Amino acid sequence: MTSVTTVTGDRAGVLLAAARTALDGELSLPPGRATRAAALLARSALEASVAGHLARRGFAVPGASMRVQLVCLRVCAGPVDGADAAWAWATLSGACHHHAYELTPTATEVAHLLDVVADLRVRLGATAG
Amino acid sequence: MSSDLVTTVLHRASADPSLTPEARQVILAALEGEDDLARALDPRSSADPDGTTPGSGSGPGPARGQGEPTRAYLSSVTVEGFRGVGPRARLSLTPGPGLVIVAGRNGCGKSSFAEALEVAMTRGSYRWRTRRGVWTESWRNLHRPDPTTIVVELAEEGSGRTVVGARWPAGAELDAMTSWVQRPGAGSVPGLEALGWTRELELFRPFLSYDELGALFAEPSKLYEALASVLGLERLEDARCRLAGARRELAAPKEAAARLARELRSVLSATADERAETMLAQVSRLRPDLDAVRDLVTGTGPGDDGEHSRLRALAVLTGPDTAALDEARARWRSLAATVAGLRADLGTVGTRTTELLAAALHLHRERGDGPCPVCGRGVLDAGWAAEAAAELERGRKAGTALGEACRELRAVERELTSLVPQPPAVLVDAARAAVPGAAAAEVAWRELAALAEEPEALARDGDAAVDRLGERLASASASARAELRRREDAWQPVAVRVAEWLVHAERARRRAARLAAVTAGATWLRANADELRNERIRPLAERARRIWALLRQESNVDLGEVTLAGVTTRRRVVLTASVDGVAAGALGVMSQGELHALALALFLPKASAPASPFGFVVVDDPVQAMDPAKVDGLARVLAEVATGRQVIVFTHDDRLPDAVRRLDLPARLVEITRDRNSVVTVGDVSDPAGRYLDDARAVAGDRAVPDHVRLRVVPELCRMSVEARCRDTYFGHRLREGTPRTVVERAWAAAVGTRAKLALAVRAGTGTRLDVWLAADPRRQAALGVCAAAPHDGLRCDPRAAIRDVARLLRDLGDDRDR
Repeated sequence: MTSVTTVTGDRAGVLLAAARTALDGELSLPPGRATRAAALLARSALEASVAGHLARRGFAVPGASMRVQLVCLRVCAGPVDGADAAWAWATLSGACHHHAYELTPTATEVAHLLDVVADLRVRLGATAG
Repeated sequence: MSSDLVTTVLHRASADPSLTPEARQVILAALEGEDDLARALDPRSSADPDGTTPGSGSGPGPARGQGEPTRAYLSSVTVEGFRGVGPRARLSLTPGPGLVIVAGRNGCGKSSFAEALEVAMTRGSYRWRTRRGVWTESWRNLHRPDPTTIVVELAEEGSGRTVVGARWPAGAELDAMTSWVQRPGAGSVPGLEALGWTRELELFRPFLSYDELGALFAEPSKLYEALASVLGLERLEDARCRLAGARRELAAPKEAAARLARELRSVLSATADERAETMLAQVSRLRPDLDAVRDLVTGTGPGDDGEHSRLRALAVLTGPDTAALDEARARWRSLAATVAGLRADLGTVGTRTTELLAAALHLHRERGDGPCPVCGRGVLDAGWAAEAAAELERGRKAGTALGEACRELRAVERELTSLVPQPPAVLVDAARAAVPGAAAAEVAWRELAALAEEPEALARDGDAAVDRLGERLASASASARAELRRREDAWQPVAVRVAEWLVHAERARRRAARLAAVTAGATWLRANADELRNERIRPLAERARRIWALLRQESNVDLGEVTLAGVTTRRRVVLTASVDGVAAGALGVMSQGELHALALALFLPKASAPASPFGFVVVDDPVQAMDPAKVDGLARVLAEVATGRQVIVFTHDDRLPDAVRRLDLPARLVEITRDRNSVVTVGDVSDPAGRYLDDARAVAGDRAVPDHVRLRVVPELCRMSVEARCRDTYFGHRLREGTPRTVVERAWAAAVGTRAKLALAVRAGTGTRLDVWLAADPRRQAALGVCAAAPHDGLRCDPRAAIRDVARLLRDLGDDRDR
């Protein structure tokens, strides 16, 4: 995956495509794993979109915590995109991890999140200066 | 909103050409109230035919004027010795729109605040009403049962601080609660009436608990009523009832007349009287000629040529003038005797003798005395001549007298004939109509008339005929009078009943126009009820659908139309939905959590209806059965409602606060904790200002962040933080003072830049007073400098120091906030 990314330069797009493949059950993962895997891939895609946007705006914070990155995103991309990205990231994180009190996210939930991430990828890409 | 109902109806009614102006006016008057309807139906009042004046409005409440009413926001709730709260605990709130989430573990006393609010303002709560038994035993705090008090502070637009309180004397029962209200500039008044919200609290009830959310769908008619009252639809129902009542009243004479007419028809057809026939015809007509009937009943009408008048004529019919007849007959008899006498006299002389004597006298005058040429023995001398002349004169006189007597006799005979005319038409008719005695009288009359053709016979033998006619006529009249009396006796009660009918029929005619208007109005309202109701519910339904769209997240259930259907006991709210595009009834396809979300989607538009005087909405524990995804949706919904309302949400877990943080929603998070002995503590966890500053700290503390980014991002977050706090502080002050929200919002929008906003927050007005305030602590000026650096080149000092200065500034502003 990493090699592909470096070639195309669209890390977020590749990760998102991989997430969709996972969710569609084409990666032959055990049941229940597919959605978590898709969530994990989608979160990475989102992180790539955020990092790309920050870098293009001169706000690159490589190595900073995701929280700090999202805070910086809110400052440079505005409150709407910032909030949506923060929500999607937190929700995807919830879906990736196995919490004792939370059930596996449903495929529809993750599919919806993938749409949100795809949308953000466009929005954050479009605002690049 | 209810006054909009009148507008909705007016629009619809004006667009309907089948409706007369009178009917339109009646509908609008019925919507306004009993008095207005009575005035509109009063025949003395001059009607407003256009029906465009909806009236002055009735009573207080939503009907008052157009536009939004002034609103009340919550400033604080203080509870002592009630439910889970022991020693006095206070939940401070910033009045004005905004979202506050009060979180706390179950049993921490957070619901005690929610219930205290509801109990203080409505003298009851949902739980109180539905679980009386358990509740009434455990409403006092176990650790601190006395005193038990609740104090709610409200900030009212336009007037300021209003306090609503409740207290219980030591050992008193739950019902023994004493309520009081203190309005700005006035002493405290017992009871809740001084609030003037009795009806509004019922209509818009801005309190909703988890239990109640579930119950919203338990009874379809309950939900209907809850929605209908907010939409002012009960006014529509009231108007319908009023029109029905007015119709009943106006139709009463018509119905009475119809009932009497039915009875009269059988009575009249059994009555042998031609008046009855006329009446029957009138009574059976759709529009009877009431004047004619009245004349007939009162007897002042023109006579008719029927049986009745015939009888009346016969009753007073007299025969020939018997006195004149007797006198003429006597005269005839005496004249006849005279003529006979004269004839006898003349008979002795004879005409020829007279001629002979006249010739002899002539001879004597020529020849003088001499023997009688006839007999030859007698002598015609002077003596004879004198005697003969006298004789001749007597004969001539007798002839004249006879001629005269004969002329007189003929005159009397003519008189006699004229005194007995032919029988009058009345009698002939009566005889033909077989009135008893009439035929015999007619025969007698004709006999007498025939007799009068021969005057001698009449004069001589008329007595019997005259007497017979007299007797028979008297008998016929008597029987006519008897018949008349009989008829009158039979007619009288009928006439009374006709008169009774007439009274109702005339009243009905006077009311006909009004009845027509009211009937048309009532029919129209009934026919248009469904459309009117759904026209009214549409905006609310649309808001509910938007809320549902936010709430449902990944649910495949789509909320469709929300309509009101049915009447009286079968009234219900019809919720349609589609599952993956397939239509279905909403209630059947939704999970418990979804139903709660749906209930909330309906409750929030209802509680935040434009006409509500409550600027706040209190929701207790809405998240219980919700999926994590729905909680995010709920947080968004609440934040959206909070842009126009003060939304206070009590929740028992972290999901909602988490969602607020995750979604970066501008909400204040409050945590309630309960220690031993019911000591309840209310503490701010975070508000937007605090969260921005926390973010700034995170950026400042992350070594991986390059300096140039840090120096740009930190001051921006500081600016957002300070401005958020300034807004809270400013809104809090001004709304507590009673300043209308629109004024506050306008002033806030006009303040550009952190400095201007800070000036508003510290009530510094302009320029110098803010400088004075800033100068009181050099760190304030420094903090303002940090915020000002944001849009420019970035920070030029140590970010951590800058954050410390800003935190200090927030504290200074925060201390002010709840004052």
